[in-house]
Amino acid sequence: MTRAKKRRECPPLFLHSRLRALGARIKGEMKEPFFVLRDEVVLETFGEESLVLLLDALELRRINAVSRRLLDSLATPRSATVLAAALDMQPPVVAAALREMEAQRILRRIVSLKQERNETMQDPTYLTNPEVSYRPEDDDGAILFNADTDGLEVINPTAMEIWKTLAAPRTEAEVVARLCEVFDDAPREEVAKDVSEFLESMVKKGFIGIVEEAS
Amino acid sequence: MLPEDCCDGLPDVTEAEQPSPELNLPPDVPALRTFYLYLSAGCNLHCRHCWITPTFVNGKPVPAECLDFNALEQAVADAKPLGLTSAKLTGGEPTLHPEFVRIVDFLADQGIGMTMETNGTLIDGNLARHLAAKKLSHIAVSLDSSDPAWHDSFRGRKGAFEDTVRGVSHLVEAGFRPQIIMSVCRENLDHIEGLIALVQKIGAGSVKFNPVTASGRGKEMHNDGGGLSFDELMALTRRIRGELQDRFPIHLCIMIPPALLTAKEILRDKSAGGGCHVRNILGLLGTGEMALCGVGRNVPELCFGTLGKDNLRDVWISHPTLVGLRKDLDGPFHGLCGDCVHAKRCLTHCVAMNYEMTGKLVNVSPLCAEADRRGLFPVSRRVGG
Repeated sequence: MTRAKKRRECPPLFLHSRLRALGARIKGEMKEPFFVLRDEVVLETFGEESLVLLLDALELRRINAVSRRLLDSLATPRSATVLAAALDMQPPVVAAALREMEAQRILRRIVSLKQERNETMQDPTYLTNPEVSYRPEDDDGAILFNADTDGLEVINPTAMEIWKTLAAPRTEAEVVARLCEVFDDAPREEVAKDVSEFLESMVKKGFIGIVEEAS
Repeated sequence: MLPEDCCDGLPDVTEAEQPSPELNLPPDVPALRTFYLYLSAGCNLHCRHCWITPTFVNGKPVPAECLDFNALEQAVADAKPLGLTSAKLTGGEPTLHPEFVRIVDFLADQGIGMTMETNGTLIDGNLARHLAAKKLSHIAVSLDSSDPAWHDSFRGRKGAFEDTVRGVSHLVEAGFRPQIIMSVCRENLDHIEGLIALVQKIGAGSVKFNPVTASGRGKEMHNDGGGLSFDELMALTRRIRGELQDRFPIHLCIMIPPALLTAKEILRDKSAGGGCHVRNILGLLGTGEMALCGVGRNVPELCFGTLGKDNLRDVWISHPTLVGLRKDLDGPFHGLCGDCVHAKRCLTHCVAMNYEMTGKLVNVSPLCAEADRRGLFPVSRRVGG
């Protein structure tokens, strides 16, 4: 059956709904995040497993063969859909692996960050500025350094946890929830206050950004 | 007094200050915010380590070695349009100046905020109350041991300990919480805890530990093996900012380049991450010379002219050494500093000490250079990581 013939067979209402579905899919793909390997990462493979060294934080991560395959294709930004198609993998599996590697600071998301929230933003998500390198010194504190601006911050263990949480976009409430899990003896109000102050200060200084919502 | 003495009582330097447009200064000239007034080139003590090497004054000082009041009056008039807002009274011993009280009153009348460094021996109750009435914001007093005999021997005058402790007590009674500055060498390393306990007992507010540097009379002490080695200095820093600060409630401080402090140490004492205000300071020596700071006493090329002969505004705006210093401090920095995340705030730590030890003002701090040679410079503080 030719396409033209099929179209003729479609009642007008059905045709419109097909077009709407197609539009929604295109819009969805445009919204789908793109990821890329962070510059500060070195990979080494040992049999079925690979080790990832984060040069700025001097931390090691262990990844499986699936993740390693994905990383080989992430020297340039790709979305989960594109990667899944290129590597003949299941999109949900790819998406989950990408999110996991983002949280581990192996990958970074290509996203536009802002220093001010729109009036219309109800619950903005925050993300660490990819230009800032994170350098933990034992468990006592860490150095944040932006080589582009010479910006420097020294942060305490609570702020270190917030920083790690914001390797992937999170709302303020999600950050508070995460910190309450880690510091389970700290009063929630105190944690919420610390998180709010830290986010405000870091966004102002450009170390953390507000994720720009797709229009 | 040591070069690090210059780092007190003033707001922390975290970013280069932008000149205010109302000052009408050329765009690349910073405001002259602070005078370091070396009021007297003489001192009533003869300390074994002093970097300023003042003339020992046994009685009244020679007038020619005290900053002339009229010259100071004119200097303040010239510097206010350049942004002058504060002055540090130091020396030698500043209270030796025969017109010390008149100077304090004049600066207060001019709205110039004041801090002071003193050996405290000449401060009685009246003077302490007067200083409080004139609202000095910070007073630092030198005291090197809780052992009177040792302090007297180090300071070169019997009875110095007793006089200093009495002076501190007068300041405390007048409402000050003075900072005690302990000059540390190998001989008094074991006196630190005793001194902190004494400082708490007499009501002072904090202790700053200044390792004796190899400048002025300290050079001889270092040549004789009395100065602290790199290892001793780093161990002392860890001890003061760690174990001792944990145990004692008063603020303890020791200044080394921020790159050599741990993140925990910087977090504990926010001022530790900053640097010297050298961009915004002009030293006035007792002789009336305009200098980088007290280093001009020993290093003539770091004097830029003389009050009454040379125009202060011209010196501030155009003296080649100051122009070169500003340019170098704006970066890019070279060598290790060029690869250090702290460089723009640390400003090579102490340019006076750099000059005395390396012949260059803007140069890698000798401490950082030594850390680098030993492979101890923290990787986390390198720009490249």
